[in-house]
Amino acid sequence: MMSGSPVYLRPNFDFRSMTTGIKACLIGSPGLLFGMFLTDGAHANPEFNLITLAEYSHGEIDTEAANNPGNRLFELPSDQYRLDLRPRLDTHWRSFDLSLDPRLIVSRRNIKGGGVDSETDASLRYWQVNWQHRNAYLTGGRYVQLWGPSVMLSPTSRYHPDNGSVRPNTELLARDFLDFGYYFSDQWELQLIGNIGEGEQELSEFRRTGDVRLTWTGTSASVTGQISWLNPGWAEGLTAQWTVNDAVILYMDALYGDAREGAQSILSSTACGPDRVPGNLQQWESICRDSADATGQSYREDGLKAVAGMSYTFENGLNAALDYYHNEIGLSGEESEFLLSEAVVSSSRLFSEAASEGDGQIIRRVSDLPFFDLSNDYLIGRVTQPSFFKRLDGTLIYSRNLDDESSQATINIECQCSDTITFFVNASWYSGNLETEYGRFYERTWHIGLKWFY
Amino acid sequence: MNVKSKSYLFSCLFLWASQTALAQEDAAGAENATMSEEEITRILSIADRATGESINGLTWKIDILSDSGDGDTSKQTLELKAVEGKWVAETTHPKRSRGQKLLKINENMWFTKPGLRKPVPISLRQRLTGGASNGDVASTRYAKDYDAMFLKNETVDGQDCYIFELRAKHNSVTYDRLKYWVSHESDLGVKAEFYSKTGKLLKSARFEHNNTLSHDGERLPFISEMMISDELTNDTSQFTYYDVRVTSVPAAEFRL
Repeated sequence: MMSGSPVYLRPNFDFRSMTTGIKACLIGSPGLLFGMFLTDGAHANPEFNLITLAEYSHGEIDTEAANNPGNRLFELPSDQYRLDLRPRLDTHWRSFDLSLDPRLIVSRRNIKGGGVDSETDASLRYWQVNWQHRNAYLTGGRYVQLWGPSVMLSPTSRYHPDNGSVRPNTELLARDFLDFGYYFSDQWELQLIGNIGEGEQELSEFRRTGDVRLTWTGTSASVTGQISWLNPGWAEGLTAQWTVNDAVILYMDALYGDAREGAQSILSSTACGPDRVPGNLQQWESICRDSADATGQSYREDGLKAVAGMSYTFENGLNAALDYYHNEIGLSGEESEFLLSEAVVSSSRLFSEAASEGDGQIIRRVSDLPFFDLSNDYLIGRVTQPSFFKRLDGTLIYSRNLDDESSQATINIECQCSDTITFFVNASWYSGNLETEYGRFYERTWHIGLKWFY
Repeated sequence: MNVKSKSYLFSCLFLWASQTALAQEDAAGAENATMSEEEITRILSIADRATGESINGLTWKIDILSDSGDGDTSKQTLELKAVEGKWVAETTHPKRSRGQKLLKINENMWFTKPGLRKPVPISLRQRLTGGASNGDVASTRYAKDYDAMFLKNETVDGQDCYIFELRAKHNSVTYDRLKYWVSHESDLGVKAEFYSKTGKLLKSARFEHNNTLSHDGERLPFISEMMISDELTNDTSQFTYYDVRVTSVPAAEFRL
């Protein structure tokens, strides 16, 4: 997935690559479902729902941009048409719940400066088996695992770098999980989470990891302590929220020791690495003197990622939230500008004989950086107004990179047109030049769509 | 006796009669304006219990019919499960909102819906539907969350009622102040007016209790209808409660 671009879906039904456990569950689930009906059909209680999504997306791309000359490098679509069938089957039997979410997507993309690309994908997007008994539950399957009190960011929630809050009608790519929870009392819950497969996410390197989360919920506050096993290494996390009164909520979410390959590691191994000729030698000497790794090996940075914020709801229902995010393993303004400008230099070389392996590496790794991973400090504001003009729900999100001063503003409006139909419009504006986080790809994007619920 | 004297006598008699009547009313009011704190708490607890408070393990359904006052109506159906201090509500109608869930644990509240990725903390003020707030879905806890003062008696819809003035003990309730009419006969809520801190009337509500449930060997009344009128927007929301059952609800049900 390229950050900043719409999420494209890929066929994922490669049975051979799945873990043994997941294969067993995948084989077993239809068997379980059939068994439910065979033995106790009267209580199996299946429920079928279907959401049909028809969407048109448009992106304004600068084909003169040096980081993507003629759009030949990233082949970003200017227009995309998509029909997405989202059936869901839920069934309940005794202490078990099973849900299946297959998808059929037909899409057509016009690549600016290129041709037309049509695609048909069929996949089992999500599925889940849940067992519940008294104070315990066990869940396994392929689904989205996200938590945290901030709508916009979840540093402790490591599995989905983009939580999709800017594009609410886009489905996130799932991973494979086993999840056990136990309620010791009304106030205490223990959760053990194992990420046992990469699922639909195509990761350059997947390792099985896990989390232990202990949550205390009091009268008006909730706190969760978390230890994550990163295989190798560990990280520690803390989330907290406090309902101050009927209008104000304060919250924070922090993780130390993420040890993913952060932007600092990408800077040192690509822009400062030995496999490419720097574009700006003076900057290279100034910035890379301390971070250059002679062997070109990437290294992992431990550091703190933390978001703190506040949400306020007015009497008419309008909600406003403001988050401040600090990312210790991000880059300063000068460093990020250098990294992105070197990526631009590499892009312009790519279709010439001067291109090196290092040029390809820096382009790939910079383009794969999710939003909020590049720099040190961000400010995110969000305003939500439900039920204005009776049937409209509106959200405005503004994200600003405080180091490179680029920003993204998104407005999303949904019309609850009837009991079974919603219509939405989603538009984003990106400001900043090519050497900034938000200014790298699109100038503007917008999406309109219709959802029909059966 | 001449006319002048008769007029004078009549005026005196009228004055005496009105003064006596006023004095009697004052005396009656003064006599009924005192009620012990224990008695007030007892009455409010009974009224709260009829909305699900203090019953450990309850499920029920609510149809919410919202009217914006210009003929535009919408209907939402919720299925609720509750234990003391916690409830979870799942939307089953309309189809576009199916699967949305509200979870409340003490004064903390979360919302999730299919496609929202994860539960989001929300405040009691945020709107559920039409003019109803999330806090309106919850059972009332007036006996625990408010300091109450007895004001006077009044007849509403043919029912003799106590009128209590309630002020919030803490900031985490939906309404800072309210007036609550409770039936003399049944100790059940009949009417309420909800005010902001500044004394502005925000909403008013009417209640009916035609449901019954069995609990600890007793047949108890339970709320069957609540009509909320938003005084700021003229929206109305009619809550109809049905399928009420006392049942065991495990802790694992209260997650999103």
